Amino acid sequence: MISLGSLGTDLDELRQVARAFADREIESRVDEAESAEHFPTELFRLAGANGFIGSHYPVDVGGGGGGIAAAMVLREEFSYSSVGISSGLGHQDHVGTAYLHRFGSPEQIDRWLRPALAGEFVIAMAVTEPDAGSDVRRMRSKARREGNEWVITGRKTFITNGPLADGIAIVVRLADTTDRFGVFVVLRGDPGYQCERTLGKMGCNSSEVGELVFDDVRVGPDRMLSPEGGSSLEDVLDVLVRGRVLVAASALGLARRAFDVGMEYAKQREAFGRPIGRFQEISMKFADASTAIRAAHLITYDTAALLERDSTVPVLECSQAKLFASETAVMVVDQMMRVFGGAGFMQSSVIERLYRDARFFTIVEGTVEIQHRIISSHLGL
Amino acid sequence: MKIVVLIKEVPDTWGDRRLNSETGLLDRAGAEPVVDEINERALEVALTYADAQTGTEIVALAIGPASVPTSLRKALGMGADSAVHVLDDALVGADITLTAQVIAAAIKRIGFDLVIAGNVSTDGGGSAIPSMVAELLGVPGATYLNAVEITVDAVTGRRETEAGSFGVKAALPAVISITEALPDARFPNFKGIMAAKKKPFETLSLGDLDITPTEESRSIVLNVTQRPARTAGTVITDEGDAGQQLADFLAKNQLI
Repeated sequence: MISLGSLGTDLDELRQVARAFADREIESRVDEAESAEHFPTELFRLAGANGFIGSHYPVDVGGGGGGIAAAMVLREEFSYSSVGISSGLGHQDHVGTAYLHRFGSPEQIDRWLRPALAGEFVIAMAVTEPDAGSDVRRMRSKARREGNEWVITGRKTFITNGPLADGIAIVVRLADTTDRFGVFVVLRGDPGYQCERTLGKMGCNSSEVGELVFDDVRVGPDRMLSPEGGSSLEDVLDVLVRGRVLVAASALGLARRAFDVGMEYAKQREAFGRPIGRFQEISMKFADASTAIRAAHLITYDTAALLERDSTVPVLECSQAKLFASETAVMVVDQMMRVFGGAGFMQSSVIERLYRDARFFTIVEGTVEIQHRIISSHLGL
Repeated sequence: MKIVVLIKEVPDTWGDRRLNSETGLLDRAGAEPVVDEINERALEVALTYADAQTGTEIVALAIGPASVPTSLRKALGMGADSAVHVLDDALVGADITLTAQVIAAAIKRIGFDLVIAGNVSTDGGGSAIPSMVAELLGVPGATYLNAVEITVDAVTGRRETEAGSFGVKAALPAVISITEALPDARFPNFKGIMAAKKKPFETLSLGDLDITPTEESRSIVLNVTQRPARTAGTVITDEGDAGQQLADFLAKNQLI
C-alpha cells in the first residue's frame, strides 16, 4: 500500500476509522451497486450515525467540528473503495448540505440540516442546467414572487443524488433581477417537481445522477434559504470553489487504489521468468506514479490548510489542487491499466472500473479546461 | 451504573504473528498493535446500554506496554468516558494469574457495577481472565454470553454450548464475558476522536495497586520452538493406478 505523510494524530486516526468503515460497509456493496447502477441508500444513515456526514460543520449544527481536511480524509478513503459511492456520500456531506449550513435560519437548520447530517434526509444541490454548465450566468431557472409565495420554474441536470433526494437545494435566478440569485428547498412530493430521469454514465455507476424538472413549483417563504433579496452569484458559487479540494482528495483516493492494485499485480504476475515489476518498463511506471501521488497529496492537503487558515477562499490554489490531483488520477490509472495488460481490459478487473471512474475528476466541479482558465486569469493572462 | 470494559491490545490478526524464540514472549514488533475485536464488541454492549440510560459511566481498562494508550484512545473515541492504563515493566510476560490479579485490583480501585470482557483473546486465547477476575472480586461471573440484557440491578444472558442453551442471570455487581455473536462495534467518529483527547486518562503502576509480583508466583516459559516448516507433500500422478497409489499411501501412514 502506498504510504504518504502523516496529517497529524487526529486526522490519521480518522483515516484509520474511515478505512475500516469503507472496508466493511463500502467494499461489501460496491460490486452490486455498480452493476445495478443504484446507490445503496442505507449508507446515508450508516455514515450519518458514525459522524461521517458533516465532520467539517460546527458541532452546534450537528457537525463534527473539524476542518475541511477531516471531510477530505473521509472522501479520499471512501473513494479508494468506490468513487461512485464516495460521490453520493460526499454530495450529502458537503454539497447539498452546504447551502443549508451557509444560508439556513436556525429553524431551517433544525428542520433539514440536522436530519441531513444524521443521514435521515437526503438533500441534493441543483445548479447545472442543460444550457448552463460552467457558464452559470446563463442560468434560466427562475423564482417569481406571487403574493407570499415563490413560484419556481426550470430544468436542472447532472444532479448527483437527484433521483434519491428527499429535498433539493435549488439555485435559481430571481425574476425581475439581472444578478440576484436565490436558493430554495424543494421537497419530494411538491406539486410540479419531479426527477424526470436517471442518467446513464460511463463511470461512477454506483452514484445516481438525474435530470430534474420544476414546473411552477409553489413554495412558501420558509423554503427560501438565501436572504429575501437574493445573493450574488459569487456568494452562491463560493461553495463550489471549496468543493474543489474535496474532489482533489477523491481523485487522490482513486489514484492510490490504482497504484496499490497495480503494484500487487506487478509483484505477482510473472513473465519471462520473473515478476513483471522487475522489468524496467514496468517499474518506472510505479516510480512516476508514486511521485505524482505524493505531489497530489501535498498540494491537496496544503490547500486544505490554506482554507482552514484564511478567511477568504484561495480560489487559485483550490483550482490548482483540483487540476493536479485529477490529472494525476487519470495518468496513474492509465499507467496501471498498462501494467495489467489484457487482464485490465476485462470487465471483472478493479482497474477497469477505476479507469472509467477517473474521467469523472477531469469534469466535475469545473472541467480541467475551466481550471486552466481560472488559474491563468489569476496569473494575469 | 458504572461499567468497566476490559480492553486488550493484540497483534493485528492480518499481520505476521510471531513469538520471540529467546524470551518466549510475543514479538510485538512483528505486527501492528490493535484493540482485540472482541473487546470492541464488549464496549459496544456497554455503549448501547449507555445510549439508553443517561448517567451510565463507562471506563475502559487495559494493561500492557507503552503502545496501549493508542488503543485506549480508540475506546474513548468510540464513547467510553474515561480510561485507565496499568503500565509497569514488571508486567512484561505476565501470566494469566498475575494479569487477573492486576485487573481485579485496578477494577476495585475504579469501582464498578458491571465488568464486561471478551470471551477469548486472539493472541493468548486463555479464556480464563473473566472468570478469574470475578473470583478475585468475589462477584458472580457469567461467561460466553451470546445475548446480554443489562438492567439497573442485574444482568441476564444466554450461553450456547454443544449441550444446550443456558439462560443465566446475576445480580450486580458482576463480571460477564461476551462472544462474537454480539453486534459489531460502532466506529469512532471525528467528534469522538476530538473529544477523546479531553477525557480522563489515568496511568497506574503496580505500586499504585499494591501488587509486588514475584518469580515464584507465576508460570515461566522454559523454551519456545518454532513450528517446523511444512514439508512438500506427495504428488500422485494418475497413470491409471492413482487409486491404488492413494490407498497404499494411506495404508503406509496408518491412516486406513
